[in-house]
Amino acid sequence: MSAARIVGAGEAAYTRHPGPGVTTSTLLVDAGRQAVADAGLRWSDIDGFGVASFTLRPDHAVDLAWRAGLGPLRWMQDDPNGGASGIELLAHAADAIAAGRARNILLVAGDRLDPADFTALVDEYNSATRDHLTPLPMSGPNGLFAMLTARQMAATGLTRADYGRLVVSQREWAESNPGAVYRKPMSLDEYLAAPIVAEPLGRFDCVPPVSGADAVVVSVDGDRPGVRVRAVELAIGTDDQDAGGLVTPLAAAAPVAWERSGLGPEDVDLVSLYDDYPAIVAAQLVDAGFTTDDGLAALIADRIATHELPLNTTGGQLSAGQAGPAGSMHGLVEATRQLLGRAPGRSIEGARVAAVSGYGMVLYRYGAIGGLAVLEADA
Amino acid sequence: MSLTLRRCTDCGAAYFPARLVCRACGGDRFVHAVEEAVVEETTELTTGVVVASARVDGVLVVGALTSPVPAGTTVPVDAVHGRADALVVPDAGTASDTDPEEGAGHD
Repeated sequence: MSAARIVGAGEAAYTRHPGPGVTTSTLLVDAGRQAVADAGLRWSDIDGFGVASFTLRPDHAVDLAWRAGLGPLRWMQDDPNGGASGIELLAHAADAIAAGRARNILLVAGDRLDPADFTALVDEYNSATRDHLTPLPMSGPNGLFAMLTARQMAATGLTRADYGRLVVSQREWAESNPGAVYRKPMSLDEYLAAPIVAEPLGRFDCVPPVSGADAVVVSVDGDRPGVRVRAVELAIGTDDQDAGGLVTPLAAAAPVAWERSGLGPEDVDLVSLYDDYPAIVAAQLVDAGFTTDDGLAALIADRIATHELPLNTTGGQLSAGQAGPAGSMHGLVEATRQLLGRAPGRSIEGARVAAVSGYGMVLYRYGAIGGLAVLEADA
Repeated sequence: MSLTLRRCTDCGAAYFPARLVCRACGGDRFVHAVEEAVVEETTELTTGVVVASARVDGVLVVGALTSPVPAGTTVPVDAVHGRADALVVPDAGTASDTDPEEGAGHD
């Protein structure tokens, strides 16, 4: 078992219209200071620092640490891996804690994303995108995930209404999250009537881009209250982008995470699955082992829509917004808050075990990295 | 013009976009091979661009069509816009990036 604990969490408020003084650096530091305060630590207690951001350039973690008055540090990590970076940073940090490389590691993720920043990011996401997708012309991943969703509908029999039940369920959770950009109640009919973005995806299948940041503090096991990292596992490049993307790398990572944690999907009180699109949530429900013989549609209708299995209890990125790679840490922040009883208004009574996924880095057609963290509160 | 997959000279595995090393056998030499595509899914973006997912000799590629076609339709593939019936798979790097005549190895 890992000796690492998450002892604090913070989030710089998500907004579609950041003020003039707000930069990527100020958002990351804002979230970081909230997490350190939440942990009951001092800024000077931090001796490890990890950063994920698309828009921090030309700075890196070392520049941000210097400008933020952090240090001296003994461990540092830049993580460029988008929707997988939160889980990846947590895995590296947990290893560093276990190896004695640091005692209190601050992990931050986020972006200030203006429309021009967003276009530049998605058009030059990697060389394959720049050379083979942007010239179609196609800007951003909606077209790719529209085709992935169509493929999933054909393979599983899921309907737009099934995806709608997932999205509406997350919106219900968002109503009690003051940080979500979409908080208005939404009916299934409203979901289905939304303008089509790329058939079969409608507006509410796509995340609203926002500016914001998330942060957690990972510390050595001690007296401080916290959430034990029972296991955190990654899988990278499990296929060659030729398989259609309906099975995510989580299918390889999750069984290892469950085995190492000594826990299973049946032990989980809440789950945060990376939700860039509802089809990816559906794929991960299968890959993480939450489905039974009854299938996905029944799981969504009987357990998720009813909140019996609390899924993405902030509203997820689909309601709260996507602040670049902050989305990769958003679920860790929420799971930590829930397990420490710090999620007022949406608290899940008696929650002790949470599972949090990451998914990201579309190489050409879909994400190449998946991971799962299994977290447990003290008895 | 046409679309050229990269085919590993050692094991024959086909790739698009170009790779540096063959995942199947570890080889690092590739030849160009011209293929046609079978459409699997299409979607239309808000810009009006019709995007398609298509299989070219086992490889899934993403391209643009001038209009949607049913799944299973075989279409010619092209690396540049121009022909009305072709699936356009942008590939400005066709001529230079992995041509074995120019030397792909590092020894």
